[in-house]
Amino acid sequence: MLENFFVADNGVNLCRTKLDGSLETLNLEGRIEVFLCRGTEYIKTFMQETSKTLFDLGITAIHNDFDQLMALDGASFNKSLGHLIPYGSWQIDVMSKVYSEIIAEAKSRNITYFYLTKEWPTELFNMKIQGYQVRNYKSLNDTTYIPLFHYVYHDFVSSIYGFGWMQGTATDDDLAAMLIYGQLPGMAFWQSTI
Amino acid sequence: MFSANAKNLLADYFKAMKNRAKAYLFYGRLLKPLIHSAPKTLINITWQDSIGNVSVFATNMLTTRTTVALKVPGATKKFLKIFNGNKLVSSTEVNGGENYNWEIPAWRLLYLIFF
Repeated sequence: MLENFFVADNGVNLCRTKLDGSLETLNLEGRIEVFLCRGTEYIKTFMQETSKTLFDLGITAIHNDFDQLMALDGASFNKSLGHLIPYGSWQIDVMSKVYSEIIAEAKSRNITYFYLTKEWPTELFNMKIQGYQVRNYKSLNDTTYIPLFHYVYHDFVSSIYGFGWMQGTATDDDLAAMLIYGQLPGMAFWQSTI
Repeated sequence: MFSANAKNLLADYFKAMKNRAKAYLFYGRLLKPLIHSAPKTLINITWQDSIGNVSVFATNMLTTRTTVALKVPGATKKFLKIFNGNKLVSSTEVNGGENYNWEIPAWRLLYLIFF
């Protein structure tokens, strides 16, 4: 059913493709994911419109998950969209405008506890967003980001949803570190019961 | 499912955040650690709140109690209060610059504050 919806709504032409032209997919957490390309006209209003709906429902915290600029997941080889292949500053420009318009919408509604976050720290957007989704503090085998310039724009650097406890992987040590190091608790259950 | 240790930690955390911990874990500023030579089995961190009080949060990941030494900040006499969640565990007077031996139970979220 979702596949029909995806095809009927021109999903294929709105999503990122691989170098060979095939749709980029990711089988993760029991579902197959595709990725909207930032070079489409659709994405230039998609998050803003979604945010308005969330604001209407009383939700004031918005998290842009899986947008890990400038990590490798941002490559788009869809030549029909007219953007530079595969990366470019155009990606930053698009997302910067998206965040600005969400912030403007929140301001226009006088939302007191508005909180905008994205996955992974990046200096490119720290003037726009208030916090970052990060991983376990003890994952020292990963690259560690320290978004120092965040302090130019904000009094605090807050981090959320650290997978401090995750079904099957993260340990009690990770949970202890997340709590004591001041991260807002986040726990991933991936469709399983608690 | 959460382990018994995880359940204890989360219960401690949420009680602590409704008590004094929010001033540190949420609005605090990180300081250099007061616990020197901490074993790898002790997660600890030193925070300062907006009015200058210093706090140390710690979890002992051993199955038994452990004792660590920490240096009391400053040079004057201070009141030291130790909390578990929203409970005051103990309080004592300490001298700035001296070492204090902190006995930490296994797998609880403990924090002490120097006033």
